[in-house]
Amino acid sequence: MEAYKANRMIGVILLLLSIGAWISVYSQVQVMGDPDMLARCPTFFPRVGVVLLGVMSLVLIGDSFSAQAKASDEKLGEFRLNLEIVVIVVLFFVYLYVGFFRLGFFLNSVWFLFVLMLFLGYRNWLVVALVSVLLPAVLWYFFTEVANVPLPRGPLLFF
Amino acid sequence: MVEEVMLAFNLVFEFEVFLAVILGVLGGILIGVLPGLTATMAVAILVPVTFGMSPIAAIGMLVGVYKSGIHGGSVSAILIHTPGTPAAAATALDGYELAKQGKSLKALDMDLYASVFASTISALALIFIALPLSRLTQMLGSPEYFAILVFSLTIIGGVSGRSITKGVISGTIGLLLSSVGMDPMYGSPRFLFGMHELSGGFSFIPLLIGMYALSEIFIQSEQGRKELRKRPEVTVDLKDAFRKGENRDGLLEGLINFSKYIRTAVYSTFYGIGIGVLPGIGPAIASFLAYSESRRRSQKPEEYGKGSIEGLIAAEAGNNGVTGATMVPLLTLGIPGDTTMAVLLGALMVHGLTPGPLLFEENAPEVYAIFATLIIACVALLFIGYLAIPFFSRVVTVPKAFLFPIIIVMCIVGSYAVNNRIFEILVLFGGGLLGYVFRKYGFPLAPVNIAFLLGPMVEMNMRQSLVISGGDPLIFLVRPVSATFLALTLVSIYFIAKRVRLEKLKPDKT
Repeated sequence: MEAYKANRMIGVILLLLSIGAWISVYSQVQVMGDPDMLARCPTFFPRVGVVLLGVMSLVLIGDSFSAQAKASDEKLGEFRLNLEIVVIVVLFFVYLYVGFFRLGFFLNSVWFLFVLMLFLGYRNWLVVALVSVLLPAVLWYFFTEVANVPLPRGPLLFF
Repeated sequence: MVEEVMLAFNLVFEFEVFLAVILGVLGGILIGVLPGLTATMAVAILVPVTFGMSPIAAIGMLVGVYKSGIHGGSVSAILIHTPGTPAAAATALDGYELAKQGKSLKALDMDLYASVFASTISALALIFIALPLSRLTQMLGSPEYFAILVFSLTIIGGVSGRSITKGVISGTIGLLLSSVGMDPMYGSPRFLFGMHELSGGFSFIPLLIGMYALSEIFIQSEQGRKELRKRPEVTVDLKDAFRKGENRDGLLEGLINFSKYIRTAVYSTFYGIGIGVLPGIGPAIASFLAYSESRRRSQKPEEYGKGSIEGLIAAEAGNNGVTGATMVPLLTLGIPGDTTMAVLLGALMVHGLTPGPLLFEENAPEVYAIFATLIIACVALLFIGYLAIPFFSRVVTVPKAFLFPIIIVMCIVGSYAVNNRIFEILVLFGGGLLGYVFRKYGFPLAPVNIAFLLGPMVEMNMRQSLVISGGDPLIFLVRPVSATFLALTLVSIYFIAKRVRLEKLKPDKT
């Protein structure tokens, strides 16, 4: 997409967001303590931010109408949502919601690494198998034993 | 002070600290060498790994990662003409030419010596600048502090992207994201939308890892599997160089050779230091400035870009000269000059050290110990970097198909470890998505992260000042220091806007 069109579009989205945030700010707690003192209000700072965002969105939209912006051959906002990205995202959520607490960190990470490496095209099976087992084991040991972070355990007694 | 320095020695001379710094240097070199993985990403991914360590070991490890990550970025610039970090782009100009001429080992050695030299001088500069500056900053009140924060945010927003408007929008989004959760003065909930997980606000580490690491994976995955499984082509095989007996100097001999270029190294380092103490500018600009200045002063400017050792040293010294100096605003004022410093700020806070004027008063031994780890990291970089050179050509060719799954798992476990909540992994994903969209639309990421971290400080100081003055905003103008910084803010906005306008008016080279 041409840069000026992309900037105009994103400017409009940000402007709508700032309006939504403004409404949201006003629906929240307004005043604590002295009602005459704006600084005591918990929403004072977000209001300043929302106004700034709105103003800068208008500037972005305004800039996109300039002749100079239209003359630029820069392209922005060109997404290529190919199979690789879709698979990474799907596996990410399967890893998170299906496996993380049912299989535990170790087993869940083993299949995730194995499947994703092979899917992305790394074909050295021995290295894939070794890394898929060793990396989660090292991470498990490090986080649970050294950093005292309780990672989710699965059906295996020791992991 | 003597007592505090002795305490610092006690903190530093622990096996754990030395091991952490050495592992950090090793990890930083490995990650920096890999094209597409930056020092910032390395530091962000490794922050959760430091949770179980003492604060000094943790910061020592991250400092080691940062310093060696910046150096590692130059290795791929020399060997495959792909800068591992943006800061290494200037190094590629002469480094790659030298490698093509069969002087890859000499280029890598000189690059290492320049890195270590500049890092060490920069660390010493940090010590000499930060200590007196901290005494001055302890005299600042909240109006002055607010003005300094606004000034820094303006600079960072203005210089970190090609569009000042987008820089300011990024910074504003960062400020708004930081206001999610409890209000810092009264604890009133803001922007929770019924989600109790948001009551503590967004965690910085998952958000940052997502924005840098995950978004990078999304962007590079657009190339498809064919590209991801490809090994980068090494034009210069180091194994061949060793086999053919390319003459490699010993460490001492190499250092003596390096000393012939000491003048170039010194002023390039000082360029780096000068730029490092200013927030938002960063090592990439420092290395190009040092490089062009060196060419201007050189007796053989025609050799620049064709394999000049002098040019290589200038770029690398300028680049690494930033590494210590950039910690001056971080430690004395709590203002991170770039994204890596923002991560380091987050890490310091996680470990109970809050950078800013009080740090030198309340945690003086820890600060001196951090200074010592910087020097230890430089020494470790010299030896580890020297020994690791023969293995670089292997590391640099690791395909992304192998790396990306590992990085994703490390991102997930690192994010989960922050609060032991699955919500943090969702924040990681959200950060990744946000970073992906931001990059696609040309919004810089650094202002979001820095504003996100500084947001609560800006808010607290602004509101405290207004409470002190009974709501009168003139408090920012009647106090000389805050008025000066607000005036500087206006001046910097004027100059940034002027620069942007001039750039727009320049005829397109194509």
